[in-house]
Amino acid sequence: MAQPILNVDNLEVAFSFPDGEYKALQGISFSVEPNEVVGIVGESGCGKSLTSLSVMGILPRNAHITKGDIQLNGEELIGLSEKKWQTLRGQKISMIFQEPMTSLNPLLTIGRQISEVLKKHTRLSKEERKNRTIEIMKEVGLPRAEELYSSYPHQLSGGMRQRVVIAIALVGEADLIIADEPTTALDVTIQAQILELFGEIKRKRNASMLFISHDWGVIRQICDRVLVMYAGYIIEQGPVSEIVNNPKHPYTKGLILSIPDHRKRGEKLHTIAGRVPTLKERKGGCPFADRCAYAMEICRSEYPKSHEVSEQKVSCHLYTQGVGVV
Amino acid sequence: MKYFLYKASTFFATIMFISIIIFFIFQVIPGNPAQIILGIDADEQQVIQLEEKLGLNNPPMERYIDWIKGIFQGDLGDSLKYQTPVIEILQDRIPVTLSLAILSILLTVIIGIPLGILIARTDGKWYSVILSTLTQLGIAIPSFWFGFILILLFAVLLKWFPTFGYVPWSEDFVGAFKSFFLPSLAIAVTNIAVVIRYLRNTILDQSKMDYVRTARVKGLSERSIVYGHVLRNALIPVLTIMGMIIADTIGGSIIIENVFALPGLGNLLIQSITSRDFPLIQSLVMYIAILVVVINFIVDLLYRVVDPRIRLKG
Amino acid sequence: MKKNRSIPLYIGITLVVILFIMMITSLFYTPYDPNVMDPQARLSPPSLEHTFGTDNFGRDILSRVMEGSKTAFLIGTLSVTIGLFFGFLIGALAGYFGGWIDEVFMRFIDAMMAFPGILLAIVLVTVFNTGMQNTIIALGIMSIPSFARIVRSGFIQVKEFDFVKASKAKGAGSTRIIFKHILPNIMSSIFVAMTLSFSGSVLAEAGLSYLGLGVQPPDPSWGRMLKEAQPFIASSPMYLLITGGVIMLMVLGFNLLSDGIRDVRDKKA
Repeated sequence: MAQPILNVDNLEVAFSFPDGEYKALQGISFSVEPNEVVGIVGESGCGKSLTSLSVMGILPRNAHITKGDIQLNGEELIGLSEKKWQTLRGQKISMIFQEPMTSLNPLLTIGRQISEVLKKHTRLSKEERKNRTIEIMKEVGLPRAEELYSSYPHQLSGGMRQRVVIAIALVGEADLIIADEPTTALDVTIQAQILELFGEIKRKRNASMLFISHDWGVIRQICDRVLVMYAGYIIEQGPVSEIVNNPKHPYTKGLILSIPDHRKRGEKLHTIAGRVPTLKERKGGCPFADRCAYAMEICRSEYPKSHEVSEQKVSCHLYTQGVGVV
Repeated sequence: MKYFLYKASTFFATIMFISIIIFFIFQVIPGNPAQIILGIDADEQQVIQLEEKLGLNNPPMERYIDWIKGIFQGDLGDSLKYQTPVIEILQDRIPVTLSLAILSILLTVIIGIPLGILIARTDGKWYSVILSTLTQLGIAIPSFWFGFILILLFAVLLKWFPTFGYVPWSEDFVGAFKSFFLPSLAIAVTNIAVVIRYLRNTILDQSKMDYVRTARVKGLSERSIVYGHVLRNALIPVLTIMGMIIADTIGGSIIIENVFALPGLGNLLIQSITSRDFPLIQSLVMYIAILVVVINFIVDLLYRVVDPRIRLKG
Repeated sequence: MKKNRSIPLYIGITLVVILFIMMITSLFYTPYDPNVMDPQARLSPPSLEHTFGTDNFGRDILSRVMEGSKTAFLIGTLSVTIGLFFGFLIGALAGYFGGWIDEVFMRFIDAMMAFPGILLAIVLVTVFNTGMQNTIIALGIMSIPSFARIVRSGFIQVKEFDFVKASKAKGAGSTRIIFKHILPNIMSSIFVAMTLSFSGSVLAEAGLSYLGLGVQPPDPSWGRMLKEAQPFIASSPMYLLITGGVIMLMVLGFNLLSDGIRDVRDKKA
């Protein structure tokens, strides 16, 4: 197999609070292969965004990486100077955020905000940068690109702004694109159009992506593989179709069951009782134990090692203990 | 355009209101103005003559209209004390006050904005805390007292600047600059402190915005994020307090001109109050108020030019 | 972090309390009679006998500074009271009735705000004559606009609340609505404006009196002391430094107090 674009190994991230350190991510290991789209799902507060911010090197001030490796094209990212990081961001890794309404600077033209990436990372002339910018604007489906070049964000609709944000992420030809809930803030029809755009990017650009979403529909449409996160752990990962049709972890099962389905119209929607423990409530053992119908004694004292079951990797004592499928 | 018309109409309404207030206030002066001006010893004939000259016997409405006409035509009659047309006196005085105000506002911007950026960028560091504390002092300091301290320090002890007095620009540029520098700084100190504190807050607020994160993932350095993205957004609210700062600057110059014996409008105002030259006071106050309102109006329009969200809307 | 934020508030309270104690003390006791001149000890530097030295007439500066604090507190308190009373009235009427009443009152307030504060005070004092009483009235009028704006926005906001509409429908009287719903909402903003107006009045009084347009002898005034000290700036700067320093500390104290109140309010919100 070729070298993965991104390889994360045993990553651990902690927050420093006045009353001590709290681990927000633990034992995070996954990879993104060339031309692969990997999804991350989970309820909010599970560490999806934190994982992507670690890969971008833009953790919040009071968070820091305490353990593990992040490699991009085989190059270790942890411990890089801020200066080196800046040469990678925008050029090797780029990122798309959720809020198109606020992700753009209201006082700068669209053209300037896209071409700024080229100004930072390439030696293209002003003219060439403009041409390249207009090209990429057309590619992401912005109409009248020449005209929009000198427009301001407030003159654009939410969907168009998100296309601009996507153009910013694409223009530097990054090896890895991270998209953090890029369609969540949009209304349904626009959402479909933007998803369509992501599909195109994947096909035409052979792009590698890390795609964060809490929406299984989106994940199914875009991703090849998916990581299921819970309370700072990846509890299950594998091919999307495998996980959707045959989830192994009790939490994943719960998530899949709670997807609204027209075939089950009229039935009460499945929900997982309880909520994700907050950072300060997390103790040793499996963080899902308190909400899990199959919890055993060992679940509360020891976090399960990752276990390969058919095409998935699962972290659940049901498999380490040989209890097997439920 | 619609906005411009609206603003222009409120601009004129404000000037009208101010003129009515000023006119009304000066009508309330107890006693006969002519008598007050001439003193108790004046003989009756003189008083009657002056009453005639000032038009004191005309109905108020007529006097108001005459006065307003005079204000806008620059025909303000003669000063009672100087016996020369008021407009000639003003022509000598206005450049002094204007030089003082412009230099002071320049100092406010040149010193206030870089320090505001510095404090915001070093937020939380010990020297940043000390600078922030100093801005509290800057706001609390009486500007004319700060003027004394500047005189003490730079004129008396170091002898870098003259203690007071005035050299016209046309005579000696360096000398003029020297005579305006300390008074301008004295007026500016409070405004500098206000700008620093305000800009610090707006920069810190803007730094939390989502577009800053977008700029960061482009690979931009902290420096280009602050100067290329955050600062523009942070300066727009500062522009809105510029009107207040300009009003304070002009108000401050009234006192400071007297501290440094600069022959400007403020100095003239106090002199004419001492000599109870009411027609001159009334017109002076109106001119100073118009100056403030006009500058505010310009700032308001500027604000619209700078912010594309407003510029491109209506 | 939390502790850091209230340090300025404590400094503000401390300054105000110290100056207040000084003022109260001066009612019963000053080291010297502030008006007795001692030609033997003109412009003497700070010493054991005269803590802050003496002025050009040989009067004890500390005693005069203490005496001046009475004027500062009196003018601050009364002008804030005047500003609050009329500001509240104008703001409440404008906010409650809206429409053309609001438009006229607010144009009026805008016109007042277009004046640099000190200019307005100078005009009023010119017309009504100088002296303690007129200075207080002038500074009181100067502080009307800020109160009027706060009260007006408080009335406009609260007027739209459902519970107010409901209590109106139930026939609750206006007074009841004002005291139960509107006042508690704008109380902290009013406190902030009061402390700021107070320090603004102290500064403006110093400026007016320095120009000779404010408080007149025999009433003591810090601003007039500065005027008296000015000619001796080179020979005995202590007089000037101490008097101005006290004004600054008083203004600083009230400003910090105001910041502190605002912080507390913002934390609650």
